[in-house]
Amino acid sequence: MTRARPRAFAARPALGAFSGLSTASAALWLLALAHTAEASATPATLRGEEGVAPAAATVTTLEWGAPQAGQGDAVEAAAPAAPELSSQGAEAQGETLGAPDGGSLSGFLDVRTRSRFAEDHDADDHDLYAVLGADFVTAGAQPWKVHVLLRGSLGLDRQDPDSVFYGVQDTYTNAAEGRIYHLYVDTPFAGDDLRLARVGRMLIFETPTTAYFDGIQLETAPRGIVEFVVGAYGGNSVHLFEDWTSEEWMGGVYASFRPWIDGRVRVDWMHLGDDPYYGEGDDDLVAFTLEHAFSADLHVKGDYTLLDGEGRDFSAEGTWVLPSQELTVRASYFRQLEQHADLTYELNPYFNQLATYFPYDQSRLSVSKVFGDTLELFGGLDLRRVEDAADIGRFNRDFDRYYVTAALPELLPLDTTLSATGEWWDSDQNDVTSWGLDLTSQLDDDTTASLGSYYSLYKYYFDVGDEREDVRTYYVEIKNDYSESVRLRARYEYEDEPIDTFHSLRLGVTWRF
Amino acid sequence: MAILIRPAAWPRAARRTVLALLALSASGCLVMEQFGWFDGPRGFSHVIHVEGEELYCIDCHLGYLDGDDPGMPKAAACNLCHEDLDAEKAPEDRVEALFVDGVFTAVNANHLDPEVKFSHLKHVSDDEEGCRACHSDVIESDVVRPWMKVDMDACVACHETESKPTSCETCHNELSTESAPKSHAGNWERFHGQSVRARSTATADRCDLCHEESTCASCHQEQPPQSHDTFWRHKAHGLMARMDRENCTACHRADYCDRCHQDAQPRSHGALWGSPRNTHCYGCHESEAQQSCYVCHQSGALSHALAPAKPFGHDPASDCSSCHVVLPHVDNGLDCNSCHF
Repeated sequence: MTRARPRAFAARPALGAFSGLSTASAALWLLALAHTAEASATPATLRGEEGVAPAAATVTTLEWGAPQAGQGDAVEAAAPAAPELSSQGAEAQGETLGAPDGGSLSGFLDVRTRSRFAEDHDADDHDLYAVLGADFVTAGAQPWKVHVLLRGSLGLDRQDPDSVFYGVQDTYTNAAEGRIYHLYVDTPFAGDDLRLARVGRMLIFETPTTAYFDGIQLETAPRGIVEFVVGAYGGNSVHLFEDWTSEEWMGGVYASFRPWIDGRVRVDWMHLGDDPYYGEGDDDLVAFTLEHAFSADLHVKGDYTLLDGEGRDFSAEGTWVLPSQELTVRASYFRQLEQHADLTYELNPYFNQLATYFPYDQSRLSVSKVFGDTLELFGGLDLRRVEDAADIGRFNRDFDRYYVTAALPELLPLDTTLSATGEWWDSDQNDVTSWGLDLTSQLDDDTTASLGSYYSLYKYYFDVGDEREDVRTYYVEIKNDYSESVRLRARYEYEDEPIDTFHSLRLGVTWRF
Repeated sequence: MAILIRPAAWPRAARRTVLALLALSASGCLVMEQFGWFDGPRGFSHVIHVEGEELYCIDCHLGYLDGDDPGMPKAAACNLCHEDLDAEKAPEDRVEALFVDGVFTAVNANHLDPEVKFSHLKHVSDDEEGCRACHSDVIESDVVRPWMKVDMDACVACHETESKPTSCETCHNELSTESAPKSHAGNWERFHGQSVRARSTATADRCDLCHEESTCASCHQEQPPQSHDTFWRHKAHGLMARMDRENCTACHRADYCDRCHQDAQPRSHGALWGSPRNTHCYGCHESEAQQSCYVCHQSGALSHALAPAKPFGHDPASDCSSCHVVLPHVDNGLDCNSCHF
């Protein structure tokens, strides 16, 4: 594929300057706010990492293991005992900066801009983004806990479908778009019998397929020697990129218990209702899970799922961790038992673009090993085989995948880590090879700089013959902790690909509170 | 038009060779580490002194029952025996080589971060079995290695067994999620997925100590993988999805793809797609292709409706090529019924 003779690309300085000024203004505003906040901060305030809504807001809130019957004589506890850890993660109580009425408020606000330029197509694109994550916990023995994760974006220039920068954001009528990723309340109605009573927009990962909905989740506290737990959930399904409709809903119940020490059994039933283009619009999943920990370091798990009464898939995995050797080995096997066509969105195998998904099995093996302070190694392989060779086609393929990443933390001076990664996909008439190098250096206590390059070669057969296309990307990134609560980021990328040569600049500021 | 024959993929052998070399290198490093080739300063052999010379811990670790100092041996204590034993040894093999300015400098495993609150006196007992409860690896070692250090997992496990407090403030002065674990240094962004998927109960892998589940979403829903560059958006995502669509489901659901594809034309629909080259024909007249055209063109390709109908008596089962030997067509008429109704 030949490209038109390169000519000097013309950017739109006004839009580029506006996006840069917007980010700078937001940064100044956040800096001012942060300085004001830090001036009144209490010494016990904890700060979270970038982009992380801290799980613990104060010193005395995290606790692992079962609640102790009594405190020992080693340390006097300074705060009431925190709740037991649940599958939802640690819960936070206590006081932090800006806490109204003695409760706690923590989170982050991330504002960034992205400017992209195409040399040959003489095009550019500028966007603004903001992400807000926050956790609010009321004071008292039975607190209310509110969690939010919101995103807003503003496209400073709209792109047509034939533009090189056309993306999903340009499919919306308005340039400004907002998304609510999470917005839920953990109510204090969860007492002795209930471990969780949650209302709002939430994600549940342990269900047969990830449940993302607006609704309610209830879960009982473990009871008895077998730690029997029952849970139920239900509500309107969340499809962020689809117009809302009341016909899309989901619900389910689950139960888990420990039939023997170090074992666990879980049974799920999940109903999904959708409004698809074809099909009946409803799917029912039943899943059985069996886990056993042979030791703290060796864990195995098996899953069997039925879809509408028919066997859907089966999987088994084992994980072996050797902390003393900093070694982790993970092996898994997955087999899809039936073909999948147009299903509800939660189960849909991208049918509208990739058509029917035929039965296959896939084996995976991955190993990670840390050699002191000198080398970190991570690698593995995936082997996929379509069950019936007659089903092999454009969208159902066998492949072998190999990948390896090595990081050398102390190879170079200036506290620099060198990372190298390689990945190979080997499939009939479709091979992909990728290589990457990254140098990350801690310039000082507050500043990190990264320099790297990434190369991908795509070889594939396309209707009339073999195609071969490669992409080379170079990037430089700087992160600076301007203060305890404010982090600044800048990233420049140069991408050379068959369609064009692209330049992108990302500026961002994150305020943690 | 003859379909091009795909050349043999030469890199497969090379890739496997490289992978084998990497595996051998890793194994070699592991072996060398076990043999102590990565060791730093010269070590002290406990097994020789404890099992060989039948010494008790208190014979060298003087005073550990009297105070919080674990009683690392002084040179004078060692010289009680070694003054004569080392007389004929080279200087580097003498016990003095383990001390600098009277301080024991060989590899040891007793360093604690300054913010950790720990009273050795509260944990000791006056018999050797008490020492073995925490330091069995050291007692049985020929060379003390850093991994023999008592880690937080062992502390927590023992505290749970003995019904002692396990809250963070029991042992830590500073509880800050800004103080990331050692594992979070280097290229943690690339490696953390393995730890998360391992779901190990080791404390170092207890993500929920600092992070909530929503932490994963806040990053993964906003930060795409390195591979998701502009070419990925244009074409590569389709190449990868048709190999392993399961990989995409980690972040994307079908509604995301539908949103974009309902407006965006595939890259294949370029200059050669329509007349006169009509490369689109290979979408049907090609053995491995599936009917992906129907995804968008659900009412059927208009041009195909212009194909002349078969004459009366020409049923679908007829062997068209028995009469139509030379077909004025882009292919050799593998499936006439798809157009000629």
